[in-house]
Amino acid sequence: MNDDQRPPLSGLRVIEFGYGVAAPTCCRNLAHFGAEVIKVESARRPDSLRQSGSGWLPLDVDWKLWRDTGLLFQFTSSQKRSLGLEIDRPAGRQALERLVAVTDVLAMNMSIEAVEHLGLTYADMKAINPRLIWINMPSFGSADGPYRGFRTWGRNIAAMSGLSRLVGWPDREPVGMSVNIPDYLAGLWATIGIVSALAQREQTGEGCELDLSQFQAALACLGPVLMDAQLGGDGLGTLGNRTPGRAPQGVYPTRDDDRWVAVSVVDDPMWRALCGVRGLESLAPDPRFATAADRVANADALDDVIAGWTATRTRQDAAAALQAAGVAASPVYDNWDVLSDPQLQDRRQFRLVPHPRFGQELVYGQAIALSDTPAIIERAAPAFGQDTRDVLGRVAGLDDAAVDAAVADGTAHDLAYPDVHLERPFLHWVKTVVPLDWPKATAVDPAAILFDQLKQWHAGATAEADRDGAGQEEVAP
Amino acid sequence: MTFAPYRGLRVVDLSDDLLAMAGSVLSGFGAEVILVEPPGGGPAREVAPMADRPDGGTGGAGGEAEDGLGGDLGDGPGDGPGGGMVSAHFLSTAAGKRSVTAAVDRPEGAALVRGLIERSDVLLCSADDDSLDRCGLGLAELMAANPRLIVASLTPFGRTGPLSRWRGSDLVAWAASGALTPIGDPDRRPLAPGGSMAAAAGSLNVVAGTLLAVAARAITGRGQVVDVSLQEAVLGITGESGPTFTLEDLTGVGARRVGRRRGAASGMFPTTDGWVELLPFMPGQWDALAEWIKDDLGIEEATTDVFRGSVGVRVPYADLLDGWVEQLTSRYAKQDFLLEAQRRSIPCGAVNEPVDLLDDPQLAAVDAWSEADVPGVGPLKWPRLPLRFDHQVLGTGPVPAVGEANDEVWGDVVGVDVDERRRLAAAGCI
Repeated sequence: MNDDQRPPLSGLRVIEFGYGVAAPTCCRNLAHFGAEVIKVESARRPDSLRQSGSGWLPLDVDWKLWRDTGLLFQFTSSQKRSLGLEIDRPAGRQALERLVAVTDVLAMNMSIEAVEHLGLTYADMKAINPRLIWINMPSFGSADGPYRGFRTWGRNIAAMSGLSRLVGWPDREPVGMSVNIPDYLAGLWATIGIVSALAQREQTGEGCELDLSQFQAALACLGPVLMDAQLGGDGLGTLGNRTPGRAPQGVYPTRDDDRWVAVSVVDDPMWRALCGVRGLESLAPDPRFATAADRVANADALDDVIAGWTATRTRQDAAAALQAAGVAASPVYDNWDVLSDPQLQDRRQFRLVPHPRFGQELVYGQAIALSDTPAIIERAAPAFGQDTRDVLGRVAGLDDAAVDAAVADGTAHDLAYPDVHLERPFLHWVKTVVPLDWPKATAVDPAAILFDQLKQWHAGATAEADRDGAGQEEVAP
Repeated sequence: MTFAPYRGLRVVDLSDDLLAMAGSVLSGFGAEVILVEPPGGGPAREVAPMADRPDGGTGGAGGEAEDGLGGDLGDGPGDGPGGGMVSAHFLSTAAGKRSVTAAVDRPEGAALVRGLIERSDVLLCSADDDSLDRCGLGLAELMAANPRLIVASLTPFGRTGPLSRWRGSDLVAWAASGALTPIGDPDRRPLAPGGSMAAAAGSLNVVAGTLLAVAARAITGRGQVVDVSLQEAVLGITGESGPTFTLEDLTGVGARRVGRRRGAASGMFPTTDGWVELLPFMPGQWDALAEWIKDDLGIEEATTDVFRGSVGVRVPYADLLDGWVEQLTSRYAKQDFLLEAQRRSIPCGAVNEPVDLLDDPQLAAVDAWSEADVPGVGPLKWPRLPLRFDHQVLGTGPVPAVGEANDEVWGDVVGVDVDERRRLAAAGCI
């Protein structure tokens, strides 16, 4: 590969102790842009997203297969390597220290107590490698404050940051956030922090300690709202789908039951464009809508006119007609629409990549789109321990005998049941929705293949891991 | 040592309201971010939410500020929301930027901006190619003139692909990501999250992409285009409602709008002065909540084995359990409930009103705010960056007055002498 194609983080190595979304999505971003990301995983404290498994598996399936099937794990962890290693055992600790010595970034989202308990503090790690960039991202950061150590998930952070209070209808109780947006925002901020710390290291030669507060990561995205709160402005509270100072904006009914179209008119030129749409000619001469201020004041009446127009159309037709005129609009997509969206497909937001358990796997693309050094996504999220031997040998420098011994005594874990291959049922028909380079359709009923395989390993398998005792209370999501 | 790894990185900011936050973040890492506004101040100073100016100033249309900010802080020319108002959006998203003025829609103004971009590292822009070409700021020409230039773009659907010309907004991005469908009340239409989270996620993707492009440039010697799509940015922050789940779960559960109750004993519950968000997701966390229900309400049944285990176990009893939880939360103020829940190791958050955060004890203790006395507005605070580097907090500076950096940038950086600057100002180009 010549210099022009080399990804920006090539040659860098990252160790991840990640759980849930924040640290894992951060490290996925680093992996997509060329870093070698080694996810260090304990069989006793697996990533919470390994625990969720997949709906098509029987609930009593062997844990060692279950943990490779989580769908959100595919979202957070493509292009990484998995090292199964118990770092609280002496041999595991020794292997970890060898890795840290040759690593550029150590990233985790663990509770402060867990970091101390496992001997992963910055002081511990810096003693091994002074050039290391170390980051943890507890819910409220590591600095001394009254909420330090509080236990939260992303939704709790959404509430604390003020975000949840902004979701709802003006005439009703607030609805709050049902998606864990703060986790993802924290992952983005952490990506930014690490890349900038690497830039700093280029100048100084020294590593550093980064501390990210997930609470503040959400808060930092709400600057305008917090400023408005100080000025007593109009941007507070639940506004439904409206934005202060703007009308029309909303989600409007269409011809079909529970199908909707979103429309935003963001400025005067766009308003004039809306007035030119066939069937909406009555808007332009209407004195209730003459100025931007008039439209805000008469937003309900304006919504009625637009809803009357959208209600006779499909969501696709309405959005296409509005966009053709230059008005911001989109069908309110469901997930089928998302998968079949030509724009997302053209921009490679869904891809098929190899996976040791599934053969091939459907993974997401990358929202950070670079024209000349685009994201490299050649591997699915790893099966648990699939790279253990490679990493312990090639990176940590252990010889084969040492690796064998570590695997034999449970200090390290390599890929379980390497000969068992599973097939996600949807991979056989999703090609009709997403035109990718799919494997050739099999003539055999995929369900039959799956259950044959399940029978095979069920015969010999034992459930060694305790799914419920996974110790998740020690980690920040 | 001060953490400012991008000191010396010059960024020209032609962003719209959706991308405005990106330049402010870059300034927090040391970059010199130059906001280009029309003479008299740009539309960025009129972006809602707007608030009354505390000093009652009416502002004036055009002209440089006399007192540094004067009438031009929140009141540009034109027919916007009008005099006496100030944009909370601008006060937050322009923090830390410099300001220059140039009439980009006139050839001499566009030439100035081209000269600045030729001497810069990054161009933040939101306009589509047609609009840029009309101003003589076509990206291909700019990158040919300055091969090291990084173009950092945020557009509704991205700069490539069949829908690249589609217009957008925060709401439209939520709609096009699929994530809007499951948010809201079951008996009403889908509901967008407030707070412009599409814009925030898009802007953070642009910042990350810019810093990665700077790293790539150190290898290749060349700039490139960072082409972030708002649609994809929302897709990227809503993984757990993402499309692969629909592929697996043919019943469509999870794509339903469920209001403020999310599962059993989870979601938003009322207190005496607002709401709390509870999520006792792990088995032990439910056990702790059940114990609390027993302690406070005397309901012994809460701790029975019937309800113990994973979340799914409790879903059939959601109405019963939610009733108990609501009795419990209704006895407390939200902050008191938060503290007691945390004492009992139950994941919980107080549903803060934005004004609550201004006095939040955690934020005060960890020095989470940048503060300044903004002329004509008074003392204001805004969030610092959420990262500490070697225990050092990072923040952004206050907002610039219109054109405060004109002499320095057009003179020292672009090389326009003082007579020529006077002529351009008289001609309304600066």
